[in-house]
Amino acid sequence: MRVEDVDTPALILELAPFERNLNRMAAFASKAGMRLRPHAKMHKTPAVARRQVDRGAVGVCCQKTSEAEVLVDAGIEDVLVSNQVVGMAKLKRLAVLAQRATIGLCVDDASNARAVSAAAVAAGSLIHAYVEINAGADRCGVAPGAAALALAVVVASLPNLRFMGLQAYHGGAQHLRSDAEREAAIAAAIDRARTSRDLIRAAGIDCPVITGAGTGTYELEAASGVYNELQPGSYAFMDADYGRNQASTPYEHSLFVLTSVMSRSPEHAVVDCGLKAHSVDSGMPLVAGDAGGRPMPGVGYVKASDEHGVITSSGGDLPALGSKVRLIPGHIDPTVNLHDWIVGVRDGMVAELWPVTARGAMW
Amino acid sequence: MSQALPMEAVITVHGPGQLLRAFRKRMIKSFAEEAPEGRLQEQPSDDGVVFAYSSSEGVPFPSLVALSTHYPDCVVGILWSKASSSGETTLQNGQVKEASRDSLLGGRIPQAIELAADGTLRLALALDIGHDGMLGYCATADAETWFKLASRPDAPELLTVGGDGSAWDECWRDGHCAPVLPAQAFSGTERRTLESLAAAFRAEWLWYAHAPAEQTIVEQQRYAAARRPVRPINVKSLKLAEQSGSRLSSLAAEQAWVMERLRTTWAQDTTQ
Repeated sequence: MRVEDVDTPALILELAPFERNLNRMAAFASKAGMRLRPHAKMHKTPAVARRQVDRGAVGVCCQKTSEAEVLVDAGIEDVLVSNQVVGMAKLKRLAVLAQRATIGLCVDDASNARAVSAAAVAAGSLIHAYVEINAGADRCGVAPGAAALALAVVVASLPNLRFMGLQAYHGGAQHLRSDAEREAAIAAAIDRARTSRDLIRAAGIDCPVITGAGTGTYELEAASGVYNELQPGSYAFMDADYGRNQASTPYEHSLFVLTSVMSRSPEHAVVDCGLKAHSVDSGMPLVAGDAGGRPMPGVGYVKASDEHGVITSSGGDLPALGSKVRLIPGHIDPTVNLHDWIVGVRDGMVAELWPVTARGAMW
Repeated sequence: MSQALPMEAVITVHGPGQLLRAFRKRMIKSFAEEAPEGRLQEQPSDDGVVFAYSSSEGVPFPSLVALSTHYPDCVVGILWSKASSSGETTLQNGQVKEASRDSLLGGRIPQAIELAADGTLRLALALDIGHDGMLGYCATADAETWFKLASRPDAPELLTVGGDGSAWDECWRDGHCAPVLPAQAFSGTERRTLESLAAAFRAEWLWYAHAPAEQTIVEQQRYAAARRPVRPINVKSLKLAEQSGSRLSSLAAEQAWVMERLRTTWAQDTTQ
């Protein structure tokens, strides 16, 4: 089937740039001597995770217990839920999952760590626990330093938990626009991680892994001498927001939303791709070109409603009724979560069809 | 129940006089609340505040780090020593300024360990040197015992424990083992020494395949990941990762013969 014949709206993955992206990051991690643990919250697709592991990733990250279940069911043997898991219902599921795969999670509270331990003891499994420090995002995580040490002491003492080290991810730094801003933010995160690691080691506790980093900053963490594991996700697909960072990135846009013009006026075209087919939390999508990827200069996506998107032109030709347009999503993660399938395309032809198996896995 | 030999530490705090006094006061309170099992004794000093501390639970680092954060102008030095290792850490403003650790067998107790290429324990011992002889704990991958012998290489007899663990009931001479009749009960001092010696060594170095799963699950997984064979008695993975080579020893030259004596007698007999 030709890509032009794929019904819309649909997620189109250009396999050649996608594979180049995977290869570039794998080569970078290997050369830098870093463990690579790509973030699967972005793609939610076991077929993508498998290709990342096949290229040397030690495993993957995800954010939810139910995502971890999907990934383990698909044969991924090492999954870190890089998030807090609270409540016995979820902890029981995770502890059972740890009977058949290496499962990790993050903790930032001693009572939660004890609950994780209790669940693992009940299931007879081992859970890898990472103390999450607030690396600067002011979201989850204990304060670096004394608080991180105090929690590490608790975690290291609990049965059926293995203290693995620190989760130190600075999400807010990924989308800071200038290199200088990102460098300053990550320098502070590195300092927080180093301080915490040194205290934990001085207390006689093994702290083997310092994990974090995203597509916007991974080179900084890799050069830190503190981090030894990278968690980038978006690099595989990329999105419009990452494209706005002021730095040349070697990663190519590989994922697009294919949409059709369903109404046309002299002033604008209306496409069948609105809020139910892509996310606008990081801005409107960019028009990448027509169905075959040929550029459409001057044409932009300016407005989204539930089922509709409005495209206008500042000089170029508006697409014709029934024609198809490729959009670069503003934010890749929530966009992928809206679709059941990823359509893999090579040389203009459909070559793969992958289910987004963890779509909607929010528990 | 046997008790591990305690970690011993000297904690020294330097800083401006008023802050030093406040630090001292809060440290005593904090240790009493958060590490009540420990023994904290202030030492006379003309230079800063000095405490001797001992505890089987180790130094309460979180308390010291928290205090260091509250008093950023004070410098906290911790000189610590366990049975098998020792080291020094300096804290200031809640951060590690310096940290060092002696070699794996840098502690107070003479010890020696021999490993097979796959990490299997061939023989390990820990010694207590007394006036009238040596008491010790030794282990292979399959068995462990206490032993007693004179402090000289030509000592003919090596006593070990083979029965219910209550008395010296085996005597090794010329490579052969004979029962001790009647068995010699341990003295109270002997028992306390042997229990603490063995507990300290085990806590630092060993894990047991037959221990409850919640105690061994981490080591079981580490051994599986490294494809190491699990035996009844095993060396902790982190120790294996730290050491290089198959032999470690802090025995003095005049004690080295003890290892050989055990290797050719009790260990040879118990290795499966």
